[in-house]
Amino acid sequence: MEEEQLIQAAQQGDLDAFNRLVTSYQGLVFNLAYRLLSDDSAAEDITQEAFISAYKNLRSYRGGSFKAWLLRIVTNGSYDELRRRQRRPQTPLEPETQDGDEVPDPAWLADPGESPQELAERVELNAAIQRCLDQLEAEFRAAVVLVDVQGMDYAEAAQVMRRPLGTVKSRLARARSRLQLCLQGFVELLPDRFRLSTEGTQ
Amino acid sequence: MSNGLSTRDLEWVSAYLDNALPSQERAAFEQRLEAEPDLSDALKQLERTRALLRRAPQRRVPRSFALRADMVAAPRKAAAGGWNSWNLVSAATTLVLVLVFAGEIWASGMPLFGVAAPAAEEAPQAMMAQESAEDLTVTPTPTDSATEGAGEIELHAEQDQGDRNTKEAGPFDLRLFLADYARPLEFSLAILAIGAGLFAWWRRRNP
Repeated sequence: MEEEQLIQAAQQGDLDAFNRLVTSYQGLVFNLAYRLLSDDSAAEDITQEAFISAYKNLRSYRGGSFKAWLLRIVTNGSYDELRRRQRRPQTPLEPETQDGDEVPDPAWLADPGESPQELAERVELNAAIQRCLDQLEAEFRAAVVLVDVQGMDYAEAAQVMRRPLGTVKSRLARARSRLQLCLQGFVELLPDRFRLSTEGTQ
Repeated sequence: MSNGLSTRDLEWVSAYLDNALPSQERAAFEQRLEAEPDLSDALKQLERTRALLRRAPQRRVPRSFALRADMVAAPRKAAAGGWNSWNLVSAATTLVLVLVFAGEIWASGMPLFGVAAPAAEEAPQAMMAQESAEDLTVTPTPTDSATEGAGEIELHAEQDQGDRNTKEAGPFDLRLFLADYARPLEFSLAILAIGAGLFAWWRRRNP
């Protein structure tokens, strides 16, 4: 069944049809929530709540990009969670290094065809990117995650963020610039092939 | 800002990278790229940053987020877990409490919403009249004999007693009732209102 047909069936109350949409989009939705919240269990909660909310409000979907409509629900849920955290700061339960950094759990990154060194590099890269993303304000983070991490175009990102195209362009440019500066601070940690300096290419 | 670029240049570099510049602006920007090494360098660096971000590993989904029927079932009727009869008891008791409190203020003669109780204006005059009467009857005149004076005092004392008896047996007086019973009544109503409110809250939490 095509996506449009699944949506129509789900709008009539067909939960199985909706769950096929869930299966298609859960990876995207969970990864967006994870990149915005930087927290595994919070991302799980927001993802589940987003799908429940999407199913209950499916009648309000009036066509257009279902992906953008769904990701808007997740993005709004993540913003709410970030605001809640600002009101009530929490101490992470993850183990921390002496510097207060969370120890990344590489289990989820493991790829069967990957050498231990490659895995270690990807863990470092992931931690560096997430640390730098965490330093951005929510809307700047959303712009860069949607376009660069999730590979959406400007128009889709603008739909998700409910912002004019120009605003998304501007936020993306500034977010990239700030991420570039931040990632340069991890230059010693990143493998050569990930380093940002242009020296290696010249 | 990257390489000391202005915000506008930074936006152009970023949009050029994503092929999001209109054709005219794109051509103009490409001319500038050839002429300005700083701009060209900024473009390369931003391109590498974008490439790095695109390499960010996608997190594996920890579980299925497929919905079960119970997750999307309609919530229970509001009456069961929301408004219940104990809310009504609490609200009604609170209303009576407010009325008793207002009545107490009214009975004491204090102005309530700009209107004073009639007793407030009449009471001082009545008291003065009573005091005058007592002065006239109790205080013996120098010409009266001691026996006559004593007799009158006893007579008036009996009349006073008779008046009190008449008052006690007379029609129901709300002011007197409130003066005597408002406080214990308010206390009881407050306890009842709070108790019913707490019980209603508990019922909502444990439907």
